Amino acid sequence: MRAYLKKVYSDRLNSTTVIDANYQWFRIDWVELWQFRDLITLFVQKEFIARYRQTILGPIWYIVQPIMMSGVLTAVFGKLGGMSTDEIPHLLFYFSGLVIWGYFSVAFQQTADVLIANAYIFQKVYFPRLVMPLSVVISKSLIFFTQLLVFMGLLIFYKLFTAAGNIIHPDLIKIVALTPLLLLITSAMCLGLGLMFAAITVKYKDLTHVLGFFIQLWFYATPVVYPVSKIPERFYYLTVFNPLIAVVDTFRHVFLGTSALEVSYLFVSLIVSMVSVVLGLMMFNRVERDFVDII
Amino acid sequence: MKPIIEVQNISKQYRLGVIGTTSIREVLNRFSKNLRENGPIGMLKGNKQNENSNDYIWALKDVSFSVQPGEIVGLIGRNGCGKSTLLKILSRITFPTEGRAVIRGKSSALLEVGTGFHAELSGRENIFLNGAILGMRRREIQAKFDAIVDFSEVEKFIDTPIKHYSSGMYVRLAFSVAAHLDQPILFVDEVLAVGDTAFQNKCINKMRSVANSGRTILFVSHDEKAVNKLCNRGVYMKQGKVIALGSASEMLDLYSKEKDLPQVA
Repeated sequence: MRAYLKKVYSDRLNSTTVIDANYQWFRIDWVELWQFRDLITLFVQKEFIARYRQTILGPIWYIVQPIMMSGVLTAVFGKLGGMSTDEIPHLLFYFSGLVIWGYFSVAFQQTADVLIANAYIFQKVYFPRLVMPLSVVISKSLIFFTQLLVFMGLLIFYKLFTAAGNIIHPDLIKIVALTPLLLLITSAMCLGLGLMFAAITVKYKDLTHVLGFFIQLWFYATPVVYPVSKIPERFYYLTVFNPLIAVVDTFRHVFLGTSALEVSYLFVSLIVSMVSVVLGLMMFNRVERDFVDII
Repeated sequence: MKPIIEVQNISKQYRLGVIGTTSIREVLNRFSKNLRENGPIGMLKGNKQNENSNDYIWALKDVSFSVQPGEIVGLIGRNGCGKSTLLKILSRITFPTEGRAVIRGKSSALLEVGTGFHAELSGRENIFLNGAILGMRRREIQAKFDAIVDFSEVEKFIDTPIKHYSSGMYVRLAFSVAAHLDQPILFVDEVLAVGDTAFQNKCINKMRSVANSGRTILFVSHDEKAVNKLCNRGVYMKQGKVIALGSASEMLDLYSKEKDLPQVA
């Protein structure tokens, strides 16, 4: 142990930091970020511990919440509104949309708020600012995985024990091949867009008021409570603006066997999400230097 | 030997008044004024020389000095002379408007103790979180964990959420984590001594042993006795500028002489 501490110390002696006033558009110190990986892990842990300490159900809330929400959507949009679900059982259909949407909306909102919510830390100590948004997205993606497991349990139940089993066609190969890609696109979207919002909100706090409304609008622009087949085909090009459309559609395609869009839409969504990450990182990079003076 | 910290002509400008909360009218006014005076091309180039210089203040102006490895340097000066701003720049919390600094080795800022402590987490969990925020690796904290708990005198409550801690227990734990930070360079601002008198003495002794172990420390305090005891060099600052460099006791003499002069409003 002593040898380890000695090595850590001598590594620290041998690093050089240059602080200067010149600003570069894209300067991210990946090595330094890697050195702070333990901090990312600890922030992720903190997120889970702090949220569910002193609750009886604890992390089970991550499972109960989307089930309750799917129930509400089933009652309102399915039963009352009579909206189409492409013949898929209501609960399964809404749950499939919510797994993606729940991850995106929460991670996006929290990333957008990351600079303001943690300003009291940033004003007192330095660590790579990206640690915070990254730990947000990682902790939310862990929740995504637990909910995905619940969804698959639900799917197996419906497939084996209900009459609707004949309509549902999960494709195991596609599931394995495409789910990581869907996770990547969604994560990239909430990180990129979240960083952009975080950067702008530092100067224009108006955005905090707009954010909630914006997310609500986005919910309706994403096929959570309706299938993509209900969108007129001439509007499909709009998926460029909302990569989540292709993500939700593909998700339903691989797990439930319904689909309306071609693979090329997913590809475009991937590109859009990557562009948003690069833009987000650039804007974040721009403000992280001295936002503590403004905030 | 190369200096471990080199500060070269660092300046920092702040805008006065309420920053960032410009109303739409102000934004439009500034836009049209900018357009009239610079023309569309000058505006795009970001020509800002006509902005009112009264709206800005130089918190630091052309600050230069260097520190050799192992030196304990006290930054001395009145409130608002730019000491804390300088520490914030060197610890990369904010950036300079002009100038450059080279730091040869990892550094940590101790501008307050207990940064990032979370009320719902236990003492144990907070030691890890806070330690990592200050720049320690997890394995490193594990190795020092017993020492940290020992020093803080809260071992009985280490698995209790710190929202149930008394304020004394809280600061003792917070200081202990900071005190066991093993960085070659430390920037310390006024966090020297916390808790009751007995613990304060313990803190000062700890700081002294850290100082004697070859670390380089940049230290801001209003406690002249502490500066005199700990530091071997001083930087005397006034209104954002370095007035004099020298031994800590010389700088303190200079400071106390100037302090006693009647202030000109």
